[in-house]
Amino acid sequence: MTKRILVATVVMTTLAGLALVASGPLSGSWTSEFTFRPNGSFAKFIRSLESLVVVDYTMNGFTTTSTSQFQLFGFVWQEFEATGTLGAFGLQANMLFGPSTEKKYIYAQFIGSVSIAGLDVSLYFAQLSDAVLGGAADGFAIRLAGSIGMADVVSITELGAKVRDADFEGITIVHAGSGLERSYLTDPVVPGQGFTGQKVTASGLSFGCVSDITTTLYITCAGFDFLTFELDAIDVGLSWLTFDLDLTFQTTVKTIALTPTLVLADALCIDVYAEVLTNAPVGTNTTNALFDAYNAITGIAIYGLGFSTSWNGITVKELTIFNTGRYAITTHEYGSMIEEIVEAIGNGHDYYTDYWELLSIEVVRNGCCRGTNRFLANTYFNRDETALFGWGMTYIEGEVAINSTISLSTQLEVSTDGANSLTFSVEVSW
Amino acid sequence: MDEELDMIYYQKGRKGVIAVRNRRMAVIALAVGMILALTACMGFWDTPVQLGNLVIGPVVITGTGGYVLVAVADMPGGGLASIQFGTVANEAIAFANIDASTITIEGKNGFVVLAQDFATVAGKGTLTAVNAATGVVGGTILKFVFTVTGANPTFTVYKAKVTVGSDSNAMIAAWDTSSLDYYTK
Repeated sequence: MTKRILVATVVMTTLAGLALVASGPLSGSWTSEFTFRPNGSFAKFIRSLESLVVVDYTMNGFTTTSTSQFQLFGFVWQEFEATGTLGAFGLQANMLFGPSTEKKYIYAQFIGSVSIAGLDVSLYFAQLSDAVLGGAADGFAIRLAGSIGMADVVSITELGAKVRDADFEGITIVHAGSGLERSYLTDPVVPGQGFTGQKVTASGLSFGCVSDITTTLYITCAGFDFLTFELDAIDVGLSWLTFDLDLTFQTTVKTIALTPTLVLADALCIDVYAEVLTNAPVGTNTTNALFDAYNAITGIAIYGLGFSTSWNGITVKELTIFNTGRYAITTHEYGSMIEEIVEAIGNGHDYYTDYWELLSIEVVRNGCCRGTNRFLANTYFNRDETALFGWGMTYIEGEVAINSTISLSTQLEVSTDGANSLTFSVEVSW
Repeated sequence: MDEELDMIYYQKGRKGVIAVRNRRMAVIALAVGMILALTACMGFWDTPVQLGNLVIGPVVITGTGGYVLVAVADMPGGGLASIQFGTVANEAIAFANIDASTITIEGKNGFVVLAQDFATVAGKGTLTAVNAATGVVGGTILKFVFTVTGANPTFTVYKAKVTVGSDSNAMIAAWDTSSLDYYTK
């Protein structure tokens, strides 16, 4: 069964790809990045080498994409994607291969969707090879979405697969050698396609004086799993305070939690990062919530400040964190923002553990031939450093457009230990 | 007129046949669905329960340097929050063709290395790392960077000497190690 599905998917993807290659226009990009570690020993001089080639073929609104990712480890990922519409049907197919390993085939996903009289019907299929820890697995899911009166209702019938939504995260496949990963919507959890779960979510419900309730019922083969009621931004008559209510029923447990949220007005260009404190213990899903015996609001904490202003292509940004034990500044790849460390880890964002303040200057100018030149300097400060003003590290990035399709960039990271990394990048698009 | 009446009767008859067929199809579909659901729910197609795994990546060579990534997958109890690779003189890590004096360890996803020893016993090492912020259910927790001293360097972890703790402040008893090339999170 699984071999037939695999063969059919390969044939379909190949035929679609060949058809589009034959007649469709070509576009894409090639990005390469070479990073050195100047202050390390010669053995550790090369820090990373990454290259990404993306090729698109488009024809009549149907696009196939080939994505090839290389690293020091070798040829890590080869992904094919096809998206488009066929009449009333929306179609998406993905296939993932790991060329550098013994077992090449990793994952396949197919999503088909159609709208019939206001009802959105989607079919999800995915297959995971036994080269992956937890595989082999494959399964289907059927998603129905529509409106009944004022309520929006979503039903997901799981036939061996789960679909990414507010409760489930889909699937992320990680290459153990390089740490590089790819994420998809459909998570196959069992071999075979028997019934494994049913989830129904209704939002926008009203009951009594309460409106905009979201409720979710989830049943699996093992029986009842959970029933939740969520109510966001409950107005208690205080303009600066709202509550989120979560009521959860599980087989032998019922929990109810209130999460207070501070509502602050905009204060010019200064952002105040503040939170309502409770007497609940610090932990995942418990910090600053009200539940069981933890029913007291103990105060308001300001854990950070932000300032940002732009003029004439120049942006100056400043971030300060007072509570570095719980909050951190994410790296420039993840937007240089203040984020709770638990959330950053959950979201897969890299962050700086040592720095409590960021001063950033970014200059963007029109470059040659419709390209863009860009300069970024991020300076971070560390309370434990004895350098001038507690300077900890500076990250500098410069990007120059050779023309509208080719750009060169370089990044330098310098800390009190010296030059940590020097990166050269080239991006070509066509 | 008679032909028209015959046609009406015929069409009504066809509708009846189609309706009966639709009902039969619905019953058959329902029966097949119930059989699928019951067989699935009886566990015929269930995979074994997926244990938490410590994923030891391969040794990646970069010139005369190299690195190994250590990750976790499907860790229970809110995720892995602490890990101890044996003790001094009872090390959980063994390595060959790697210069012990050059080993540096980077914590990932909130993990911080509290203590390490790669010098007391040649070719063996121990360390303790914790995550004070949260547990990690799946993802990289440690990166070992070093200089290689010969061909085909090896990096091995002995599961029996490793102890792991969860974010819910309990020791994780049922877990395994994996050296597969890929894992999910």
